[in-house]
Amino acid sequence: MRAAFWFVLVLILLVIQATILPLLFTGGHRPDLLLAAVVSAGLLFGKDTAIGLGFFAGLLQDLASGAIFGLNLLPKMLTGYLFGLAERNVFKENILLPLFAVMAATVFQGLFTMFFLLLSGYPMDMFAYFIQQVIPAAFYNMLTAIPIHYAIYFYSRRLAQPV
Amino acid sequence: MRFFYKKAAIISAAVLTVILLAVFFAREAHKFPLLEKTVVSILAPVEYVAAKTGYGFRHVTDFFGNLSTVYRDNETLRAQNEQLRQTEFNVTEIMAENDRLRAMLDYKKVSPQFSLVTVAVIGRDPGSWTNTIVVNGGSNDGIKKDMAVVTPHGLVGNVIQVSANLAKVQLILDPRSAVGVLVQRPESRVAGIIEGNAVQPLAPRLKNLARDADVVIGDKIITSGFGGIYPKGLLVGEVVDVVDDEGGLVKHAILKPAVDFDRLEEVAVIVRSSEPTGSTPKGDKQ
Repeated sequence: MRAAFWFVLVLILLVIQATILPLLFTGGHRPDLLLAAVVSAGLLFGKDTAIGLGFFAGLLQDLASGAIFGLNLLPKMLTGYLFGLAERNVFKENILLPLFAVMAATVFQGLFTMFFLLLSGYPMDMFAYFIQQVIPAAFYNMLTAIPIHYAIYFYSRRLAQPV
Repeated sequence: MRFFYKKAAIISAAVLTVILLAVFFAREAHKFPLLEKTVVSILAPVEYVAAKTGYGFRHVTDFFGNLSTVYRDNETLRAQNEQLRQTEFNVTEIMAENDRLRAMLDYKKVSPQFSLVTVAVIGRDPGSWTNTIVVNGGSNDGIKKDMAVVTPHGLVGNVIQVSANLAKVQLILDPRSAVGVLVQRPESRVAGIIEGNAVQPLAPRLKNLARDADVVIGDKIITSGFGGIYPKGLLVGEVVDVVDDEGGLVKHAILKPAVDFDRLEEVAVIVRSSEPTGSTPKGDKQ
């Protein structure tokens, strides 16, 4: 049941990201819904779930986009692990939690992407990439963080209820 | 404790495997063709439905945007001329599609040197660094890898992966893309290579031009035909800025692409061309 929920969630978010979002967010920036889902899964379910979700979401993203293998997979797995570590130390009802967590995760993923691309032989102006891509992406991701976080939060509450 | 170590070992092995795979396949164009094709094929029907919904939704928002513009114009012009009240708010999705397809048909008529297959865009890139699209035509329609993809406005990219009824197209905005080009102006004809720009995806760069190369703002850039993928003479874009590279002997030009990549709905694949495409099929970077 749990696996089915995560599978459907990733599939829905991936399809929205590939079809609807490019029409709404033009100009080369758009939110990464899967990153927001991995962050929320980490904060609400812990690192085991988040690492698995990060692996699965990143794998599908890499295969669907034809990107360098690992470009989405590795940062999402690491993000899941890092935010999963914080699971027991956060106040889960706080509305600011997903906002700041996703902002931090976007910056982390951006830095990781730059590092990964440099190692893969794709040099770039790192400072310009950070200012012009990572920071706008952080704001876009914050926009989508709350609905995704609360969808996963309500799912976690439902699981916690006695049958 | 032992459980913890076992789990850590599994996760470490997974990460190590992915890193090794990434290092091995980082520079290859297609790493897991079968897996990639499977994922794309499974996603495509869902993407097709969602894309159609998305287009419908955008046309609704466009409709309301048009309505407010028309209303404002009406207010201003009503006093001067009654007949200017005609509005465009009854534009429907079918009419818009009709216009686009008519433009494509006109392009086919004025480009007899190309055999074109018109296909619809059904999915975009879910990644953040790459720039690809998925179209609803494949090998059954005569589409093959490395064919050029265009719209009536100019060059879109090239086919990088083909299934029976689907193809993945790498846009010229993708940082891995490189297109051999020429400055169209007769007195210039400077040749160069356009590469996608990860920092500003909508502003690809004409790179490594000599400092004294005759490239000025406003120059139209067309494909050179070198490289084996793109036929000669396709419009790529217009130079909007020329920047000297720091401390070097070269400069680069920043382009405004001829195609509006944010609004791609139909594209045409050049399945046959009488224009030269050069003799070095491996010349274009993937």
